[in-house]
Order: sequence, then C-alpha cells, then structure tokens
Amino acid sequence: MNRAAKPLQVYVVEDSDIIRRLLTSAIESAGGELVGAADNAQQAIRQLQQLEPHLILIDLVLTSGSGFEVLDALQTGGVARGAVGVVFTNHTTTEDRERSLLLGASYFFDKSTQGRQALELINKMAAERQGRTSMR
Amino acid sequence: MELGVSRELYKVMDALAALKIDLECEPHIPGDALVLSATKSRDACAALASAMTAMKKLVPMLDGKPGR
Repeated sequence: MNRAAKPLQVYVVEDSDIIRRLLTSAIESAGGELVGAADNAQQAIRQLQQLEPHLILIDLVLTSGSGFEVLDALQTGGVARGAVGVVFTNHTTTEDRERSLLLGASYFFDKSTQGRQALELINKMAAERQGRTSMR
Repeated sequence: MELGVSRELYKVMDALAALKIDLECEPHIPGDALVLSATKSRDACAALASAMTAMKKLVPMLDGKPGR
C-alpha cells in the first residue's frame, strides 16, 4: 500500500463522543481522513491490526481497557507500524506521562490545557503530508 | 474514590475540555477571531449538556443515594 500518496490518515481511541466529534472535525478541516475510531482498547487493537494510519490519537481512560494497552500493542505487538502515537487525556500525573512516553507515545497532551496544541499538531502533520503528496 | 464517580468526573472534564477548544479561549487568539460558527455553537451546547448530565449523575453517587 502506498501510504505516501494519501492524505493524513488518523485513528482515534477515545471514549467521549464530544471529544471524538471535535477531533473528527479538526482532522477533516485539516484535510486529513479519519480511518477509524474506537471507545475501548480491545476494539482499537483489533482494528489497528488491519489499518495503517499515520497518526493515532489515544485517550488513557476508555470504556474498557486503557490507552496504555493500545500503546503497548503499538510498541510490542507490531500493530500499525510507523504510526505516530499521541496521548490526549485528562489523566495527567507524572506517572501517566512517563509511562506513556516509555510505551512509545511521541507526544502527551493534557486535554484541559493543551487542546489547541493537539489540534495544531494535526494541522501540521496534515500540511506536511499534503506537501509531500503534491511533490509527487 | 468509587469507579463510577471518577468516570463521571472524567466525562465532565472531557466536556469542559471540548467546550474550551470550541470557544477558543486561549488568550493569544485575537478578539476578532472569536466568532462561533453554528456548528461550533451547537457543539458547545452539546458539551454543556453532557457536563450537566454527568454532574446530575454525580450528585446521588456522592450522596450515597440511587440516581433519579
């Protein structure tokens, strides 16, 4: 599959309908594509075995399982290789942050104070992919 | 803290975080950019409704009474 010729493909692991809708709107506004979403870890891991998103946005608190399980599957389970894992959560203790980064998260954003930065990252990654695609 | 209580509290926090982003409250955003589209206004109202629903569920949990 030629991933480079596609717009930014994003998968969202999030149990809040409102946050999921907000992220979907941000992804589409940036010119990206939401390739899937799940509100629990098991469904996310199962779907990510079939998908090759460029970016995965992960909440830590889910309806079942946790974002840590998803990060672990990305790091050790050979799932969605090459995807950038980004934690976007209200669970923001030092331990949560360190564990997320240890499990391979590239970024860790606090929903309550860094929402704008998370959306800016989506915009930046989408723009980078559009630039790369238009050069081909 | 009971699992149900913390889960509802996280729902409130998620709703408020979404509301904050929809309202573009960050101080570096210029005032003339603070115009809400109909979609964002509706999303903001949905976020408030979600927070209120979660808080209503919290009251009986914190009081130790079953939900109404």
